[in-house]
Amino acid sequence: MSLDLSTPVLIVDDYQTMLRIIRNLLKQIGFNDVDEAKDGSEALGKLKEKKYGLVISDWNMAPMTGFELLQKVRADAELGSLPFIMITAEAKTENVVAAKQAGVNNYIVKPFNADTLRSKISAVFGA
Amino acid sequence: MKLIDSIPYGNPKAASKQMEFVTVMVAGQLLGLPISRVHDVFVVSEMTTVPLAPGEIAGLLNLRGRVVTAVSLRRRLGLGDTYEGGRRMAVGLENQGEAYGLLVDEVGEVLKLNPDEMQPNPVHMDRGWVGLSQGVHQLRDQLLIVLDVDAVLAFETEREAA
Repeated sequence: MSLDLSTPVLIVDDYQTMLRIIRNLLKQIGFNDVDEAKDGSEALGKLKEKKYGLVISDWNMAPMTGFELLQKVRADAELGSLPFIMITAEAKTENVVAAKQAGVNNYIVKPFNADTLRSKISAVFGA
Repeated sequence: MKLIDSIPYGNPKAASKQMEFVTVMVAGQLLGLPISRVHDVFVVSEMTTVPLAPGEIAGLLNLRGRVVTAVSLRRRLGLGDTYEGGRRMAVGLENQGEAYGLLVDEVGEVLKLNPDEMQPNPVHMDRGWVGLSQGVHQLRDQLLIVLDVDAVLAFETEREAA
């Protein structure tokens, strides 16, 4: 399966600079339908308004963490199977296990680059 | 984190030509890195010093088997390294397949600027800085120096040529 670059992607991070950097990396990969949310609540609102094909979220956010956002997405009847990639600064085994158990599709540990992002996205879509 | 008033002088009609820069602060100076060259911003945790390495190299970060060279932007700019503990921020860059973490004092916001409005380096700019700068942008209340990422990471080539 090839990677569908027209897939709408929602990126979630409470750090505006990282939002811009991730958006730019996705643009370099070829994604052109990219929206941003600055926290979990805004992300949930956007996910209800538009049909996204992928969420890329930072873990360490306030007041709702990326992990809590993942749990809410998975608990939602409409969004439950939405592909979800988590970005985190920590590679703690317990975090990875917790995220996997909560249904994350892939996990990116910082620092990362466009190639890492592309390969993680490709792995999610089996491309 | 907001370092500056992000409204630059310029022509608003030229918005479509704007380029994005990740801003960083070093020794009170605002510097910009083209966003196309930046792939991450991260907090440096454990760093291993490298004996006999060029002075610009602050150490190596071994991140799950991936080695990232930590370069001190302060040292690269000929400034003293004033790190006294606490959180160290780095900007993730790549050059010729090698991963680098550029250590900075602070990472700011992303600014959109019109490349046509970039000015040449000021005549009084330190000679060591001129080679690392592509030019400057006059913002409302301060100057932003646009870093030449290739030049910043070319310290070993410079040393070999010397």
